[in-house]
Amino acid sequence: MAVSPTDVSSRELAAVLAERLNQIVPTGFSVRSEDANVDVYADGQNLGGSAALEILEDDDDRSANEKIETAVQAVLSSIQDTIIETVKGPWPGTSSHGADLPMPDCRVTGDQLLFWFGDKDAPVVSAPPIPLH
Amino acid sequence: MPNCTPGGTVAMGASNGSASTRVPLRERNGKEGLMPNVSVTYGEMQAAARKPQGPVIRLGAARKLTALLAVMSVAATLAVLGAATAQASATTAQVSATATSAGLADSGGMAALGTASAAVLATDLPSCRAITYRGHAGAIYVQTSPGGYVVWGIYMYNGALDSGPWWVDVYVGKNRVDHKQPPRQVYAPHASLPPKLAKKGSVFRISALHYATANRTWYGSIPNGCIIP
Repeated sequence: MAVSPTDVSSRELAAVLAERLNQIVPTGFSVRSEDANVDVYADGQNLGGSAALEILEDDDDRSANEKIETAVQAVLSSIQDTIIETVKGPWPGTSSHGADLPMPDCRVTGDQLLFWFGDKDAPVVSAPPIPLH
Repeated sequence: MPNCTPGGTVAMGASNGSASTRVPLRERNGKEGLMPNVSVTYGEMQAAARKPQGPVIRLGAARKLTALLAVMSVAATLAVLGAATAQASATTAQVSATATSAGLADSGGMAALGTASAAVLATDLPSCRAITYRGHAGAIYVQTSPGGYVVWGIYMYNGALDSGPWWVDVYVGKNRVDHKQPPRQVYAPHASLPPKLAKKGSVFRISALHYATANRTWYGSIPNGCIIP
């Protein structure tokens, strides 16, 4: 599924982001989207998540890419917090520098949204790019 | 729009932002151990306390966690919540309007929030390094970590009042950088903002609205705002 960067649909991006996150969350967890919300589930229970993709609908002076990066960053951070608080341990693992917690980050480059945890050049985990058309 | 069933009156804390240091708060947490009847928040605290530290997640490692833990510790210590804040965002404004139309908000309530926040001048704002905004029912805690993260949390003084829907908008300057809402946000909200978004010199502020199911009362954030160091 592709998401338009110039006419960003928070709902579409939420769906794709949830799909990507589903591929990297720990066993027993799943990520689902509902409208602009992205939530973490375990045993059928909603553990929490984020509605930050609503930011994409804000009418301000930021570019579409800026809003995408800001919103996705907030979602990733929230998802990470939710999992960490549930497993009571670091996720996803530790960084290549040792015991550092890999922080989430993302970037829109060209027609793709890339996101990862850890150093950009040596991420602990990353997901397949999300195409922006 | 909120889908909760309102049943109380809108209450708003008085603005009383004050800078504080982390040490006294931690000391209080350790010495007093105040967490009698806090359920959800206490559980989070316990979970947080068991999060890997030291050898597993070192200083840099846990820039985010350390800050988060600090905020949560503060919450545990004070056993509560509070607050809310500043400029009414579209979301909170909608909720506020709903509450008002439902006859729940009394005069000053939500309407006064936006007005009050607008009067806050950037030049008067304190640093976000470690500050607490206390309302009559809860407080907003903001701290920054050495790594440049801005960590925040909102907790009711009475932890039992943490439960219920929360609508929270976080701003850096005039732009919204985070948003939380029900149904996933039904516990005391807290999060961190990465350095990438927490730009130095910018104004950080939070706007929140909460319906405490325990006493069927609406709470709105008090005016707040600080400069990201």
